[in-house]
Amino acid sequence: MGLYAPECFKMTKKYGLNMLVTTDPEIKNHMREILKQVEAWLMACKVEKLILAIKSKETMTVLERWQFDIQNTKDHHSTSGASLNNHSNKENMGLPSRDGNNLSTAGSSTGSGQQPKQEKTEKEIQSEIQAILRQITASVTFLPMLDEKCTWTILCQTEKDAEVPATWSDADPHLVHNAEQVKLRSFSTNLHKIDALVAYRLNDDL
Amino acid sequence: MQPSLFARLSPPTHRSSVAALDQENDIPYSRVRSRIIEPEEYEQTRKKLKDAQYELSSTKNELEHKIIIMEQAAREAEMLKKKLMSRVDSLESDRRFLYTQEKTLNTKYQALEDSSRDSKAELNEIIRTLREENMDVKERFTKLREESRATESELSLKVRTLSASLTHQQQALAETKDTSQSQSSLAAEKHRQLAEALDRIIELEDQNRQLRIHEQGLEDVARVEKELKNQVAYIKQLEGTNRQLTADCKHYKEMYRNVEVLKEEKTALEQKLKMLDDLRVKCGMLEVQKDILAQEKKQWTAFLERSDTTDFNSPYDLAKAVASLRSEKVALLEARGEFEATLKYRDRQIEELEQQVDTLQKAVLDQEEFCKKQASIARQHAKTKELALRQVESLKQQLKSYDTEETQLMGGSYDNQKNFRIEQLENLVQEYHEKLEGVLNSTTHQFDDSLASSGSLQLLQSMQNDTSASISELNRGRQALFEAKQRLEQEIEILRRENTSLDAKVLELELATGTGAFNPVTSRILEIKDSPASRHQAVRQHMLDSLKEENTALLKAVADLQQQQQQYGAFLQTHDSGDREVAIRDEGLIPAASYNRLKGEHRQLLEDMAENTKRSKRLKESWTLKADEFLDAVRSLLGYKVNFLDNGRVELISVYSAEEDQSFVFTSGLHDEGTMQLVGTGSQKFMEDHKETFDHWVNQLGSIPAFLSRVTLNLVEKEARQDTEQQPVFHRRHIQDEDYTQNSDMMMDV
Repeated sequence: MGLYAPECFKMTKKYGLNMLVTTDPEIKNHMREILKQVEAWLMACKVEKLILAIKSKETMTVLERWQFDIQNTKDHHSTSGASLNNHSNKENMGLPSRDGNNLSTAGSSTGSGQQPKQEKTEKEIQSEIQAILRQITASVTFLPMLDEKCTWTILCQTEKDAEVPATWSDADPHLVHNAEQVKLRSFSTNLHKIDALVAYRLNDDL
Repeated sequence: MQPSLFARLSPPTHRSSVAALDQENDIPYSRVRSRIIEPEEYEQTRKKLKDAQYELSSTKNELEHKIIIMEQAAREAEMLKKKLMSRVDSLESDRRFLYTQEKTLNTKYQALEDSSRDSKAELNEIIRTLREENMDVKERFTKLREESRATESELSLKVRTLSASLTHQQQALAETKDTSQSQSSLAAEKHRQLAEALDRIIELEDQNRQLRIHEQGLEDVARVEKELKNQVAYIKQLEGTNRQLTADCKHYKEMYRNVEVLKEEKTALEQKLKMLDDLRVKCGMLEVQKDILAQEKKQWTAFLERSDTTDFNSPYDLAKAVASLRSEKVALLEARGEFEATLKYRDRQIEELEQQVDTLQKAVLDQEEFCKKQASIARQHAKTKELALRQVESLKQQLKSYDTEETQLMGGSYDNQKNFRIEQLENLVQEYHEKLEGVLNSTTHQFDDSLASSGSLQLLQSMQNDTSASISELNRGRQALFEAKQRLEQEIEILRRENTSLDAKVLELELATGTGAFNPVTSRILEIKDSPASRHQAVRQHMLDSLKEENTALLKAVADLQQQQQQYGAFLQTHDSGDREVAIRDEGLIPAASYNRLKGEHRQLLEDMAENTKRSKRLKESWTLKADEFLDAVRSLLGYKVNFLDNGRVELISVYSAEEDQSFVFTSGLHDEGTMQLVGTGSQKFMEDHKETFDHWVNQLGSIPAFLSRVTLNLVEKEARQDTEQQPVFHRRHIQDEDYTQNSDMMMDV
């Protein structure tokens, strides 16, 4: 049940935490390929969101949807006016802005944008990543049990004008129906701000 | 008595005047009696009085409250003033400090400027001396160049003459060589002739000897002698020629030596020429360098703008010094700019604070004035209140006296008479009021006549006006505040509604975003084609397709079969063969699609099997790793290496054993219940060594772990003894190196 058996993982220390890392070379290669392309998009500032969707093999319904909003803070700080325009445009379209999922976040970000930005040290970034990883690890306490065979996929929400290689194609957004969602911690580097969120399908009998 | 009663009935302030007026007008008591105030009017008056009293008390309270607030505000303002004064003092001290700092910095800056000026002058001096030196160098350089040119021309002339003489000498040498060759050939000829002549002389002498021997004729001898003389003369001539030729040869040899010297001189001159060429190249380079230096000098002169005196050793030092001075100057300017900016900012702050202090002082003064005014008003009100109280008291006294009078004078209709009396009194009061107004009106025109009474009236009026004005003002303010409050409440309500609607919208959008909504106009969702989910999807799709295909094929087969059955039915009906069995062909019953689907399933099952194999392999690997880890832990903690043998036995080898065969073999007890029994050892000697121990711990006490521990201790002690004997110094280290983790407790025993 679930995705992979426990013996497919080994304990590895990363970001100061003991984490289970896969030993399957196929998965490793697959992840490497994905991350290579994501890196290219990130360098071109084209990535908006990274999504990990866990689906039932039997019914193909999306059970969990881990969403990581990527916000290019460097670009935002340098062209705050442009981003404000963008923000207002998105508001007009009735969509959440890229600056955050709600207006208060956007307001705070624009407010803090006027202040001189302090560069984060690697230690601070690592500690933030540690915190979010701890939260992700602890999320087993509230997420429903995956009591059926599951599969997974990684989606990348990019801007419309992003260059797409032949190995990638447009996909379904993998919406979660009857969803409950939990907002996780954020972390930020000197270039990006990542907001994490997990949406999971509530059991029908609940 | 009656006039005194009227006097008591009249209000305290203007009642006296009214009484005076009564006295003046001489109103009789009967008339007064006729005007006795009605009880309702009296009640109204009392009520009015109570209202007035209440208003007065409330006004007083309000005023007291206001005074307290004002006093508090004044105290706060005073505190603020003090704070601001202290802030101003601190800012003043800061300003003074900054001023002193600025002064010191200015002095420093001045000193630096002076030093920079001095250094600039020194640099100018250095530049001047350098320029002079440069001029000297230039002159020397021109001299050297001229000298080199002269030397060069002289040397070239010399070279030319030498080359000419060399060619001449070479020609002479060639001629001499020719002549010497001809002379040598001639000398060789002469030598040959001489040798022939000598041969001939020898021959002639032989002949002469023979002639002498044979004594031939005198003629022959004379002829021979003559010929001999000729030959001797010829030989002498030849010898002279030979000597001359030898002398010539010597001379030519000397000349040849001179040619060699000339050749050497020529090579030396060529070398010199080469050197001169090098010198010329160097001269060119020096000229270029000189031009560069001159350009640099020009630049420096242009830069320093003044003519040029320095005493630096090199331009590099000069440039370094100038650069350091520049950087210092820039740093100082920056510091100065920063200080100036800070000073300006502080000055601005001080000005603002001073302005604030001024405004606050003004506000305090205004408040103080207002407080004073309020206090005076309050005092006036207090006085008015006192008067009103007195009036009330007098009225009470009047009422009391009236009551007593009534009770004494009128026995029966007390209440009616009293009421009637009150009415009369109230009417009287009203009348007096009207009279008072009339008098007030008249007194306005007669200021000079009734100054005292009009003054008191004016005071009363003004008090009343002030009070009413303040009350109306307060009411207006209250009304305005109430309206503003209502307005603000409405606005707050509207904003709250907007906020709730926006919150709901935000929540909705957040939910939509969380579940995966996105704007397809600006964004797109991408997925790698070869993901696990897409692979699974493809497999399922393939399976579905194959099933569909199979289904259609089966449906077709069923239709064919039905058709065949119908044909057979028709055939049976026509041919009437009731017992004949219908033979349906097996061919084509199972369609190819089913076969393909089964093949696909088979492939899938094989893949699943491979996956399972991989998984079991992984499990085995992880189990092996864990087992190794467990065995290592057992080895390091208990001191025994555990080997599980193929026959189900367990072999224990102590880590302190000297040899591999020193082991214990255990086997499981009956029914494999986990109890172990010692069945043998790797070496007989080893068992004999520990037989006593085995008997004691296993046979007597029945504890295999205790036996194993004892054996471990024995082995450790033995090893320690050996080590002590062999290497007492490195004893402990050796044991630690062997296994640091496992024997710390044992080392304690040792």
